[in-house]
Amino acid sequence: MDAVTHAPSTEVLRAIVDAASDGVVLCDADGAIVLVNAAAREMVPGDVASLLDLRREPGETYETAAGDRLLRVRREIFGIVHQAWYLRDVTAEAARADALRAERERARFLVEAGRRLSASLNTRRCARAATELAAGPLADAAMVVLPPQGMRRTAWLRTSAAGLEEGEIPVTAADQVPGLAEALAGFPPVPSRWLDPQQAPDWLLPAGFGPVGHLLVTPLPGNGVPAGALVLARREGGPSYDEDTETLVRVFAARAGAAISAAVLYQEQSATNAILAGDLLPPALPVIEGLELAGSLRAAQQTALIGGDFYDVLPTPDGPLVTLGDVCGKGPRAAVLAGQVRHSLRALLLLERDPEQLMRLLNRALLSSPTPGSHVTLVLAAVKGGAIDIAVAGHPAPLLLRADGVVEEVDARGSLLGAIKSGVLTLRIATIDLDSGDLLLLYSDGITEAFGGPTGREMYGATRLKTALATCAGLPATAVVERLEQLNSDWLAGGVFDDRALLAIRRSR
Amino acid sequence: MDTAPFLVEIENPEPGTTRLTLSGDFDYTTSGDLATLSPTLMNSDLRTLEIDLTGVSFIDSSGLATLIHLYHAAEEHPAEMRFVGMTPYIAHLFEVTALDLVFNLPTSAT
Repeated sequence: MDAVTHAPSTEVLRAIVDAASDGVVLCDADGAIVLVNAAAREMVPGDVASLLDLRREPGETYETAAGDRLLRVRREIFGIVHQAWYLRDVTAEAARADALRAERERARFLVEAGRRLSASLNTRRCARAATELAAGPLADAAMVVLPPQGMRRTAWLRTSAAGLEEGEIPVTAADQVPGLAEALAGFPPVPSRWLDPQQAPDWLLPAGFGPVGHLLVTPLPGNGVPAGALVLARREGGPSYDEDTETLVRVFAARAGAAISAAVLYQEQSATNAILAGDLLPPALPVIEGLELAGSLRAAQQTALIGGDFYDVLPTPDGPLVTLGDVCGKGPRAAVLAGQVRHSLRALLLLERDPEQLMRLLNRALLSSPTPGSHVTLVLAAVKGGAIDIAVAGHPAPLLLRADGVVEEVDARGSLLGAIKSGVLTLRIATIDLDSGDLLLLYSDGITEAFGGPTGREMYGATRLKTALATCAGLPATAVVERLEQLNSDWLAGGVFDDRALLAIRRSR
Repeated sequence: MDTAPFLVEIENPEPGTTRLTLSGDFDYTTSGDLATLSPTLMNSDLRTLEIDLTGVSFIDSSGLATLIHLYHAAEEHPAEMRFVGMTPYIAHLFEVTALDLVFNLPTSAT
């Protein structure tokens, strides 16, 4: 049986078009509207003709606003008489796309913020990065007020169309901005707050900024320390801060605060280390008639591992007392102990000049120290005319280079200072004659225990040092120290090293 | 410089005796490991503390300080601390620091 088909009547077709969810507008060749379906009427309650663009090619799609809706419109031509426009409401779709784009923008902003904020451990550079990041996406002017750290004045940095500006305010001026003083003190904890733009003192905004529409003060949360505050300003008429932007400001402030407080702590620590390491810096050597003095102190590279090598040349009426020592351990404690030993020696020298007695006194002083592990190795060499009294405590014995190139090890030894609780200090003192052209070399174990060589695991050792010293006969003291230091550095070949100290005393005539 | 790992082996060869066998680099970065062990070592049964340094490749002043600390802890306990293994390098180091006059060293290596 053949299938029977019926062509639909005009009424049925009209009903089908009317029931479609897309809007349909049918026109004749001249653009006069023949039919508007229910969906199109719903989308465009007013004059639909104004949305229909006759210049569009058949099949072309375009977007147009109708009231608060966004419509996607497609033009089609049927035969020579009719043309149709299909309308679809894409308002929600466009809003979702906008939201996604905004979210991606925020994510990109935070990634960039994380990258730039973590790039430096310098407080000023961190604060500058924070203002530069915030100016634009978050505000027309972004200012970071740094924590005052107990000072009367505190620094600020600001970025706006005027570029980067920097300045200082008295800490008391923070009271002029509600919430700023609390944010700088880190206590009591305050949320970010909106300010009445009229409340802004002049210094808060760049000159010629114009009327302020929105002003936000946000504390920068640090790692347990206040990291300052972020002040954001938008001009009157600019977009207001919506909920998403406020959240973004909070997340951004947390990152900026963490970066700035890390920088503040790091700078405090490096300043402390620099002060402590300053105690270990070798002194300028005095000029002494008939003697050449030369020293070299190379500190271990890692700043956290401030070592404990030190030397001094202390003048006395009898002649100079030359000291070279190494305190046990590393870091700030070693630096403090080295400073104490150097000062103790200076003080003891006012009362006692004999190296052996000085060693015994220092040993007793260290044993009575409340800090456990106050161990020191030390060489004391008291130069008196042509003779030198040498006391050695737990330290490699000095080497003597005779004018003819013969190297001798000074026959002195003794135990580590501050180590043996019984207080019995075994010392064997040596007295040597330093004749014209002879050189006495004091060194720390960082020289002989330098790991390097062909395998990188071999110690430099006393034998290599003696061999190297033997080649230095006739050289001035400065040249000897430079040469030994150079040979030792070559051995290390750039490897990690401990503190290395060298001090040479040569009789020039 | 690649460092040799620092290891401490603890054995009880006989009642009242604890033997520590140290190996690797005994320096500023590793000496804390042994220092923290000290209170546990000084138990009531301890009479003799033996220390074997044969496998130690490097000792710095912090390592020496830890040995001195152990020596004093043993003295106060009281227990006898003696060295049962030594290398020429360490024997020389003890000589330079005059610790050979304080510590009980094996006669063979000195």
